Amino acid sequence: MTNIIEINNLVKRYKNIVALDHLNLEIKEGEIFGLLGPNGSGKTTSINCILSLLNYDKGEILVFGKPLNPDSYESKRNIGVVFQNVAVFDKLSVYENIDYFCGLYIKDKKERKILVNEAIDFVELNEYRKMKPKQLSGGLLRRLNIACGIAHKPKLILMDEPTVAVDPQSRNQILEGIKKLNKNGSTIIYTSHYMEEVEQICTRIAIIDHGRCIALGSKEKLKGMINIGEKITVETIALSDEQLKQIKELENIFDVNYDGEILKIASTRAAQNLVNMLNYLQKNDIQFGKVYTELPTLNDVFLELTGKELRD
Amino acid sequence: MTVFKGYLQLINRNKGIGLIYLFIFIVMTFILQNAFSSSPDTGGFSVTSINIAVVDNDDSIMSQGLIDYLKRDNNVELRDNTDEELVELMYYDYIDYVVVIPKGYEEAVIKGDAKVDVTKGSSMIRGVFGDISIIEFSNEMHVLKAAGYTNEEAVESALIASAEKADVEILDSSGNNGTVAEYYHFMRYVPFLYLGVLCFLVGNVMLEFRKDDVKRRIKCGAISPLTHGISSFVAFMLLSLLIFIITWVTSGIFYGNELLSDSNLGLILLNTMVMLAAALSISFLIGVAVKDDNALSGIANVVSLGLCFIGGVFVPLEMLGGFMKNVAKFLPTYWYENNVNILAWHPELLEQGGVVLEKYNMGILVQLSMTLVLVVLALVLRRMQNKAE
Amino acid sequence: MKLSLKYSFLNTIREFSVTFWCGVFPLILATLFYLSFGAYLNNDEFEPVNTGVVIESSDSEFLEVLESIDGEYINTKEYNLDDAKDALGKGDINGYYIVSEDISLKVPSEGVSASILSGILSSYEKNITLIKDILANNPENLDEALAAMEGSEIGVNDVSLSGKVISVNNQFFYALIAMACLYGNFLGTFAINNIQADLSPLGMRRSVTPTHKMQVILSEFITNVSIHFFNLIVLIIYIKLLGVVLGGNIGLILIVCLAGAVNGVALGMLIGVSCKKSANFKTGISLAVSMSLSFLAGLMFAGMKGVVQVKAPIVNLINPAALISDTFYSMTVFDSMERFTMDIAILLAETVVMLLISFIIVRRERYDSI
Repeated sequence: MTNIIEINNLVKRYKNIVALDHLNLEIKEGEIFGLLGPNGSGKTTSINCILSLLNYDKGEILVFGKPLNPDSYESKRNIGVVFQNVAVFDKLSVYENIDYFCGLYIKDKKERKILVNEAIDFVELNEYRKMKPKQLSGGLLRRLNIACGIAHKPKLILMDEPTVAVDPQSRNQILEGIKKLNKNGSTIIYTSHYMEEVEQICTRIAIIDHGRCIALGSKEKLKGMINIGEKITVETIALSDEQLKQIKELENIFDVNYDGEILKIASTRAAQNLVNMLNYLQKNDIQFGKVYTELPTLNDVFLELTGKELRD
Repeated sequence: MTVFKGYLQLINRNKGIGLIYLFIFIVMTFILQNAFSSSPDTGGFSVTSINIAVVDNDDSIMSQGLIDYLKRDNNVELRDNTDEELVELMYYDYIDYVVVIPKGYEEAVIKGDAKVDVTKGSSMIRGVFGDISIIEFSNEMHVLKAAGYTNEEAVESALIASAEKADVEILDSSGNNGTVAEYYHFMRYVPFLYLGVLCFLVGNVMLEFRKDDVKRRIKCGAISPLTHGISSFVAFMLLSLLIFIITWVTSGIFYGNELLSDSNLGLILLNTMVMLAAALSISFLIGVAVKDDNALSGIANVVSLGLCFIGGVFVPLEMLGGFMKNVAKFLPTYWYENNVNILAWHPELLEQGGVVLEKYNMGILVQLSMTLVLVVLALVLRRMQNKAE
Repeated sequence: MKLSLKYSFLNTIREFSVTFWCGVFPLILATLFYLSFGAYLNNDEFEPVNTGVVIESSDSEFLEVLESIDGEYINTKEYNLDDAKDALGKGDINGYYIVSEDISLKVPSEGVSASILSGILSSYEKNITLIKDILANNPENLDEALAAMEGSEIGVNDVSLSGKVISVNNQFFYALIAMACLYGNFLGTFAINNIQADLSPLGMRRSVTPTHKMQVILSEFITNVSIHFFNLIVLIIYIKLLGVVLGGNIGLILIVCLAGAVNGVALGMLIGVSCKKSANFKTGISLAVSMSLSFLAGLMFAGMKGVVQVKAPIVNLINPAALISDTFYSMTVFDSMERFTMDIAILLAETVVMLLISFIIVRRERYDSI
């Protein structure tokens, strides 16, 4: 698979703040590449540098194998962007906005008409064709924002937190739509601080923090990088100090957290973790409420790598 | 305190553009004062002589005598400009009157039917003045020639007679030989400065607080509208005070001792300060009424220019017609300019008190009343807007 | 390009606050100007000077002289001395004569009225001096001299030069039209706000499209010029209805409006791309620039353009407001088109330069922060 984007040793400073600190990334053609990180980690800055909107201090960015300049119009023809902030004309209707932006890429009127209608279908804004942005809710506005960025069916789509302030129903639709776009041949770069979204759709993920890529790979690979294999939670449980100590010494368990009512256990990957736990509780005649087990999330990956939550 | 600080911070954020505005308006005001004082025509409001361009096609003793005669009271130049150049010089009132002495003037004067070609500028009064001088001299030549004088004797007698000055006393109450100190012209234009700067700055700051989300956030807060209002008022007062100080320090430097030793300096500053308060209240009203920042700049411009035109700042009060003068009385600039005229032309009478001082005090009171009315109007409007939301 | 023009036009025309106010403000100002000094746009009429007469000696010949010109050059009224002083203080009269053995005149200040009253008195006293002179030197010709005083046809002919003479107060309106043209710079800055990535998300999106930057700028430029051109036509019609002297034929006026509109919008675009501050700051700069240029063209003081012409004539040659107001002046006053053509040529040249600079700045623009 060829690299559609290559970022080498990218450094970007805003006065004294280093927003991107020797960032290295390769995005391959055909993948949905996730850029995951907390607020201020450098996701949007990376996107803006790729799009040649921002100056950077050091490094190299290649898009379609070439540097992308503000006047690289041929390369830009194959790129679609969904910005974090809604970027549409306030005074044009839904249809007019999509038609305008599609028209900047597609000159043929007939072809454009088809594409615009497809884009409106894609984001399910048919009922709202004639409405102006001010008349739309936040979720609908986001959908319009997306339609404006992808109507021309570009080869490369950059999506910068496209689901901020979007209702769950719209969000699911958007994510499904992104998968469809990818199936149709578009490479997608998706930035977010919502790990669930990234886990759901991305084929490869880079976790960035303070402008650096701290982990890169598929979600399975990333989760494999950390100690946690399983998280067990037991609710409504009363434990003595002695019992707590004994639980800590159980096989595969490396971290125990008890707040007087809820017990949380982190254990390494193993087949019988839950069974061992339940056996112990039964053996010692300890009463408990609900029990559930989770696989580690990307947040756990981030937490272990950086010591803080993704949403910090 | 928080709201007050918030306003100060916003004012501070606009300080860049605010200073640019202040600088531009101060420079404009000084230029206006300078141009007004030194312009050949101040709109026909005060003139002691007219500017005459002469073309002498006769080149005789009498034509030269006419030129010398005109020179006694006026600025006369022999010119060879093209007609187009003359028209332009007349447009800008560098020339009031063009005289073309025809060939054969001397003979025609002796006969008694001389006609001199003249072109008047836009001021009929000045034209008539010129006409009178030409006719007077020509008639005198005709009479003296009839009395048997030679051409030279006639010209000499006419010139000697014209040197006799009538007993005219100028009752000079301004102390400047019938003119006023330059800084009074500066004071005339000060409302333009205050309105221009304040309308824009205050309006911009208030627009920030009129944004929907900010308004909602404030409404949900623990600060009462009254506290909010008072805080904003105090913040803007501080801003106005700063503008006042900058303006007068600049004038003090520019006009020096002449201004600082004026016996009515206190009254001058009072009048200006009251005008500043009125300007602030107008800016406040605009800030409450306008929601759109595109509309703000235009409205600020129209209000400041409009008030200055119909309120007697750019166009002197004497020039306003009867109806407009009555309309202008509803504007604080009218009363401000009235007081400036009193301070300029009757400083001694002011010191003596009496009717003139009463007139000045009334001007101050009217300006203050208008300020109060405008502030109340703004607050009522704000309340109505809040209710409507 | 057609698509860009279409949607650019729709978006701008629907942006009511920008397009409406750009057009309405000059109309409001024109109305206020007219109310302030509309009566002085044509040459003013001569009004007789109100004069007081304090008679201390009723057999003075000066009284006969006053009677003969009463109603024509002066309006006389008799007072005693105290009443005359009061009337002068109140402004009811512009001066008063005290007629006794000698005649004196009291006026409050120098001015036109004082000069006229003083002239009347001087004229009388000169005639007395002349008669005395004739009596002293040529007494035998006194009768001929007196007859000559009565029967002359000496006078002046009022002629016009090659152009019309109009009141300088028309300059206010010419400067107002110039300011209205420069108001186009608000439209220009508004357009740039929607083009530049560091000013709006819309600007960001437009910066990443494959559309040539020049096409984007041109489509915005053409749209805003068209809208502003329409605004200016409305203003011209309104000003003409108010009675302001706007010479030239309709074609020439349209040319000026177009030149003014393109210059104003281009100026706004240049301000938009070259000033690296917020949109609000740029609006402030636009206003300051148009006000300052209009000021120098005579917006607040009609004679300012004349003053600038004397002190720094190069400013009038490059100030677009001065150039625009000068086209109206030239059209109205002069028959030749030379000056008009030069003004238009400079305006258009400035426009081209401003657009080019804007394009060069925007073309390869990346930002340090957005």
